[in-house]
Amino acid sequence: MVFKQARRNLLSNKLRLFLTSLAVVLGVGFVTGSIVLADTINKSFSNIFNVENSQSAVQVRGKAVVSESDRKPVPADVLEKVRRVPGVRAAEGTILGQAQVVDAEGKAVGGGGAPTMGFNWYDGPTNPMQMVEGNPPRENNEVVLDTETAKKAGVPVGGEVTVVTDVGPAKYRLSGTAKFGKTGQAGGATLAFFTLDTAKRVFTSSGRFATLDVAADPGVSDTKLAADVQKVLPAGFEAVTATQANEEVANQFQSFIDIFRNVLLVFAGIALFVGAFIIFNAFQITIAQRGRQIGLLRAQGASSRQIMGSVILEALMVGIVASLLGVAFGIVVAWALQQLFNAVGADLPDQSLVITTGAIISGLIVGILVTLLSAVGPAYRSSRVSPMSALHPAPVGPTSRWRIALAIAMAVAGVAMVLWGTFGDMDTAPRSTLLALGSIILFFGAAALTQYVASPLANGIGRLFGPRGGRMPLRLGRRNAMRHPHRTAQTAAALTIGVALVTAVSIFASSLHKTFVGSIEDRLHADVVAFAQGSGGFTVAADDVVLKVPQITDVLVSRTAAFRDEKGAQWVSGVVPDRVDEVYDAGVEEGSLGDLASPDTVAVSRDRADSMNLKVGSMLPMTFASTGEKPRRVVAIFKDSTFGNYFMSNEQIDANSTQLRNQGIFAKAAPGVSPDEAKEAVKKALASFPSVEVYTRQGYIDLIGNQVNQLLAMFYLLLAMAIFIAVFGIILTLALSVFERTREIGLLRAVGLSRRGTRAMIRWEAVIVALIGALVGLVVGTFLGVVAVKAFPDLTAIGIPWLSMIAFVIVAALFGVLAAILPARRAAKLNVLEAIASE
Amino acid sequence: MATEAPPVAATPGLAARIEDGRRLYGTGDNEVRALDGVTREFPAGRFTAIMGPSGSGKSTLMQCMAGLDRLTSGQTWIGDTELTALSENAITKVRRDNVGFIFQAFNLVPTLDARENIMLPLDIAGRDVDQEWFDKVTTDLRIHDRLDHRPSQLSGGQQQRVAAARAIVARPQIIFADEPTGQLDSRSSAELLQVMRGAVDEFGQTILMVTHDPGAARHADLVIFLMDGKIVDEMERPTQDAIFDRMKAMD
Ligand SMILES: Nc1ncnc2c1ncn2[C@@H]1O[C@H](COP(=O)(O)OP(=O)(O)OP(=O)(O)O)[C@@H](O)[C@H]1O
Ligand SMILES: [Mg+2]
Repeated sequence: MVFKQARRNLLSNKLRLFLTSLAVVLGVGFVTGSIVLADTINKSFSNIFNVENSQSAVQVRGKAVVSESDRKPVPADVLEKVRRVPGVRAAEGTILGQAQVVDAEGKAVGGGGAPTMGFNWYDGPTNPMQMVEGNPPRENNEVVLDTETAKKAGVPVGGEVTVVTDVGPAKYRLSGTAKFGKTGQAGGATLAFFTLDTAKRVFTSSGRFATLDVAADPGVSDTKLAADVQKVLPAGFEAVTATQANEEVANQFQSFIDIFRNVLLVFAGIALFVGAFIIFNAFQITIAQRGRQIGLLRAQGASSRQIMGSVILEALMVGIVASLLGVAFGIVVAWALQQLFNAVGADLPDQSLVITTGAIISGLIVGILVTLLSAVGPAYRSSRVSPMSALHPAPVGPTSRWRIALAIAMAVAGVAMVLWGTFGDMDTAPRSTLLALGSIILFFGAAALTQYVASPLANGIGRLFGPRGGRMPLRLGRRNAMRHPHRTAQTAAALTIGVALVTAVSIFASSLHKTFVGSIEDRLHADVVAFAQGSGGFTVAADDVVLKVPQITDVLVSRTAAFRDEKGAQWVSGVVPDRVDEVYDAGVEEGSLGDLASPDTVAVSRDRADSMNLKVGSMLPMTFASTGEKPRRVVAIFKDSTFGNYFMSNEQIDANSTQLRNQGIFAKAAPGVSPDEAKEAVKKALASFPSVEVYTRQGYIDLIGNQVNQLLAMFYLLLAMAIFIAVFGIILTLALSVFERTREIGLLRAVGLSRRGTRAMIRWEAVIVALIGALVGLVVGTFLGVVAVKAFPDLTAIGIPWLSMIAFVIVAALFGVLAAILPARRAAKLNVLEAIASE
Repeated sequence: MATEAPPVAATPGLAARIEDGRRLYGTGDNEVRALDGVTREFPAGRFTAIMGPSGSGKSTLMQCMAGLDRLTSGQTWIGDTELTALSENAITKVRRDNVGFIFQAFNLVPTLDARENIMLPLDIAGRDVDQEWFDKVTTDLRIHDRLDHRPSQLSGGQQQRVAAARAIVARPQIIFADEPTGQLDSRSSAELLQVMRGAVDEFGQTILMVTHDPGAARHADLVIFLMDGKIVDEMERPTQDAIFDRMKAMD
């Protein structure tokens, strides 16, 4: 009986079935898609790390005192010692540096996030590269590139190619091409190989090696060899098996992918949450519509458990079917996201999608659970329907006091949890749980509270459009929106979530913009700045060139290095102590940046100084990979952290860093030279360093603004799915309402409401509901956005993007119009006679 | 406002007309002739009742004449306007401006209060109300103190009277009422019929009413009898008993 009832109900309104399922399908699709994409990226990179043709058994490297990626280089004499260890078949050292390949047009090849790496070529069993064409570099003016990079640079084997290294640009003969590992893909990285002599000369490694790769004699186990090699190593170095080293790299990568996947999953979760609202709403409405029918069943002896069972079963069926479709859709989502990320230049390696059973099962479980949970409330309600409703459909009961109290309590609890999670002192895990839970409870509270303001809001909004009630369709639409405040509230709530998040993100972005652009505008006095694309910095060889440009003065080339202090791994920026004040006002509050010229000194931002209890004259212990720990005297405390929290002189950085890299160039235009002329002059001088981008001060400010906007656009895109689903929610509610009001619409048509008027009536209702959602969303979103900004002490200004917020409201109204199209058409098409006759 | 309304009332004395109207449902063996060649004129200012056994085509006749349904063949007019030649939009306009309805049940829009329901056709058309007329009708129908109530707050009889007020206040060319008293007790139906009668007598309102109740039909000027989709008889100012006997004879 229960099953039959559930199935019949499902099929009785196909549109409802379709739209509820759609909400689940989209949400589950996003979840599955995120997992599949992460698995796929993971697979493609683990292919890369799976270096099957290398017979390397053991790797020797500096200990990770600062970070995994910043280790002390291995001196050349260690290589000799390792070679003499019994059981070592071969050992080679790898010199690692940055090598920017330039194509025939003078443009940088690769880069833009992916590393541009240079190595020494060596023969032997530990080399992970395989020659594809030509020969390894034998002469000092020869280079080997990976096949992909050679192709992009457009150089044939035997041709000439320019490579920018730490000594500047130089031409090399391409002696051959090689591929990496099994697949030959290096995730967009460009690889250049030189002779050992060339590598020593062109990279600032002073002949030291990043790592040593050791091959074992037959019969010697990797672990045994690692232990034996370890014995001859000086302090500060370690020998690990190659398997372990590879795993570490893969894990490091894995954790990066995990972050990426979790971010996607957060957005997928939001979409699913919105979907849950819609399912809940749909079941709620249909059970209200079915009140009579359920009453009849009860009157004929169906138990309340049977009634509840049939609703749950119905949800289960929707959940299973929609989740299956959702998983299939997820594969499409993963593919689309892959294309999307590639389109914005992420250059993900080619890899057919990896669809694991884990991904499929997660999607199914999540989808079915969400559907079931969303239906529990309505199912319980349905079981409370009394047999009397067969005779008198129960009117919506008056809202009890404790319900309002509960709504207020939820909203307050949500706010409190968000505040506590943001400002409380705790670990990341409980913090994110608290924030997520707090936001969810806040949304439930807001949705519940909306119920009580939905009617007056609908009334107010409706009257805005028509001062004295307006024309009939508007008036009817307004009344319809006011008619079931809880339904209006729940429908609007789905949109509220989307609008709130979009608002929060745009407030955050706008504050980011205001803070950074604001402080750059206030504090950056340089007329010309230059940065490399991506985060790798650029070669110190550019210094000489730039310093010779006559159109600029007060040139500050800033270096950068990694170190560790009590707070963890950090970056320090290099300055020229006697010049920094000319180009950049760091807002020095105590001491002077000029004192950085003295040895073993550092300047610290106010934020860090306060958190570590530092004053001018305090000692700050800093650990560098190549030089170890040494306390440094704090000579200045500054306010602005736009360019970093720590400053040292470039000389100090050069003396302590493992790899010399420039972070940026700051300069003033020479007297009588316009900023544009100065910029053009620098650009021309740096033409042979194509990875360096030169900006005027204004150009740089615009760039920062654009970067913030790009970030914002990405978030909008990720939230689009949630908003999309919310719009379906409006369609669904409207469609159900049209269905419910068939006779009423028939009556209106009979007394002369035109088809057009009927459509307008539905449209107004949709617009009003959407606007309620948007307005509540703006309020919640402003709260969340401001809290998020406050959580980052670096963000000193709060930007409220009024124009965007107005735009959200307008867009929400347009979504309302859009959502109304189908239901309105349905209503207008109703056959008047049948509508009146329908029961 | 007058410019919007089609020139309907050009021929004095004729409110509606049907010419060889046929309305078929289904095909072949399942064919039902709900209307089977009905021709009839309905003079203005009269109260006509339509009677006949269940399934005889009464509702169909009324719906086709009111522009809610379309004939399979034949023509209908409201005043001088031939509905059968008009588009759906134009018919909607005629309904709005020239036709009033009272249905058996579910006559009111639940979100609107009684006053708004009464004003609905005028509001849709954007026409002004004759306030005096409004007051008189609502007072006569004894709903003047219920105007701010929603339909759910009104009794069944009050709801029907509000529906009647809606039809009468707009002063349409013709009012169609399909068993308006079907769900009312005798007192409420008597009141409703009285008001309808009054509208005809005092203001020359034309009313076409379907009913099963000889007691209701008694209030009409003319009773038309329908059977198997054809007009089979008619009676001027009949007595209740005469109607009763006629009905008996048809069964
Ligand atoms: N939509 C339809 N489809 C098929 N047949 C129909 C339809 N509507 C009406 N009919 C048939 O047309 C005939 C006339 O129906 P109509 O509703 O006009 O009768 P009626 O005289 O109003 O009856 P009642 O007194 O029961 O209201 C009936 O035989 C009915 O079955
Ligand atoms: Mg009938």
